[in-house]
Amino acid sequence: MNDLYEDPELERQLEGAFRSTRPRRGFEDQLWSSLQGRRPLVQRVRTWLGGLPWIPALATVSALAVVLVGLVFMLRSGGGHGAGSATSRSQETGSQAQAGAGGAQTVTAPDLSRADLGPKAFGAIPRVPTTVTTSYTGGLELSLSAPLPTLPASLPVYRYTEPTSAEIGAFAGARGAGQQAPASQSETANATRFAGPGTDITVVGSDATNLVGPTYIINTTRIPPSAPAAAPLTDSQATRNAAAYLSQLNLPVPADPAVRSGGSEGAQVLYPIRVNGTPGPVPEIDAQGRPVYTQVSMRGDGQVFQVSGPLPVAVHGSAYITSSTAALRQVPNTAAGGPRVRADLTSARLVYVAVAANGGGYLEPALLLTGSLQAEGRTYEIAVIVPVLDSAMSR
Amino acid sequence: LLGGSKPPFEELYREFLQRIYAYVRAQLGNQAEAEDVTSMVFIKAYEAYARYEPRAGTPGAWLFQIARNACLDHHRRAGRRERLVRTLGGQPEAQADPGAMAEERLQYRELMELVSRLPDRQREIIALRHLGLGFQEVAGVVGGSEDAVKMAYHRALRALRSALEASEAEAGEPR
Repeated sequence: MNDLYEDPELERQLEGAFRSTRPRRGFEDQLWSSLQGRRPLVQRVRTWLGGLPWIPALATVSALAVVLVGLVFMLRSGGGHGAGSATSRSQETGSQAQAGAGGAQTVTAPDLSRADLGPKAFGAIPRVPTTVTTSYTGGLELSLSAPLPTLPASLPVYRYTEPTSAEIGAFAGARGAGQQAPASQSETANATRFAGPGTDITVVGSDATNLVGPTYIINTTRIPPSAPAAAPLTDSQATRNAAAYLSQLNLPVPADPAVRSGGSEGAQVLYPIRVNGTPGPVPEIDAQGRPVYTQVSMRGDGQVFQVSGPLPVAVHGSAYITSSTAALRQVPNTAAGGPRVRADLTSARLVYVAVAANGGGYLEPALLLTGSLQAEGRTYEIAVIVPVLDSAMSR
Repeated sequence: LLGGSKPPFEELYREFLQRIYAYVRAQLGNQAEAEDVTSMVFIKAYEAYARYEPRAGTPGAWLFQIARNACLDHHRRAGRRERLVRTLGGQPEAQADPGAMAEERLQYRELMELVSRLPDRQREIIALRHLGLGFQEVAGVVGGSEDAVKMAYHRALRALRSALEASEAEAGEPR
């Protein structure tokens, strides 16, 4: 062996870099709960009840009944939004928002309502940060060729407050997970976990960095063991299963579901979250420009094991003045060193983003600009989020 | 969790979740995709654990092998790579990540970006080596001889050092 370059300092930095690369808070327990949901039921029951041979079948029936009762409770009290594993936001878009209007879901958990919030709570909203998302890491010269949507003179902004510990506990308790469970090392004070018979709930507070509001994840930890599927799960079957699951529990079935993956590995049915903008519903996105979803996850045999998404919180809206088109076209370039690569933004649409601040947050309108760039012999996608409210309205 | 013993799966899970995530993240770059793939890794491992034979290798090497295959599958399916978020405007005030964690992330961000630009094989070897595997185990995961893996590792180190120096020189120039 020769040419064995030694660089202890660099190796120390690499150790630190990999050691500090961690999943988001709450992920460890969410995944573990999902794994427990996949555990053969007989094995679980034997663990719990000492392996008595006649117990498992009885426990199966009881466990499923508890799950169903708990989830029906959730339904009737207005819970039940999920989102992608890294995203969230309330589906309620105003104190008078209408369920199902324009495809938007509107569910309000009474235990989380905020009657004392109103327009007077506004006046100091934070500004949506301008973000650029792309896998290209060099400098960029952004060029906007997309026609901008015609914006009204004002758009609604919705305020919410971060739920208290008692409210989160009530939310979990009403859904069958009344006992607070130990937090894992990966969790922070921003995440709270509850456990109950057949149900495990984690609530994570707003994430200002990722433009995500309060999120919850409900795992059903008692479901039948995996059965060999006669045929791979199709997208249409997954959609039907998700809709049936939501309907069975009296949860609203949002419009425009999309299916991710599918087949023998299972599927996730994604329902995009929409916010009541002007003149109609507007999709909500996160800091990377990805849509925020209600998400129903199921195994390859179609058995649903997780519903996740934005925590239902009451919001109250107020109109804010929008920027001029000329101001919106002032898209900043990125500051990375080296030569700048021109990126053409060819599409623009109105979206909403959750901006956490001041013990709560705001659903604030923004423009999502998308396009592509050519560099290093490859094509990169690019997404840029720019605020649309007049900067004088934010501080 | 040395070879020859078979710990409870939860012990394996708690021990390796962060490392598997860090490996997957280094291969994919994107947080959400890394979480999806990490989930798939542990689901597959969980379902296969009853059949796992410790004598065939350490649990860590076994998990990283599953993770590597999952990343390759993901690349084949998705055909796309890392997405990074760069914030140009003011961040929302207050509730950002805890200070220490944020500082640490900032400190290592540039280095991880350079790692992400390494050739696939070098990137895998650097990640596996710095996530606790010995050279022999790394060779078992990525294929090839132990000597060849060592050579690739040291070449990757040299390439990273050169890239770091170039980046620092560039940062010192006026823009």
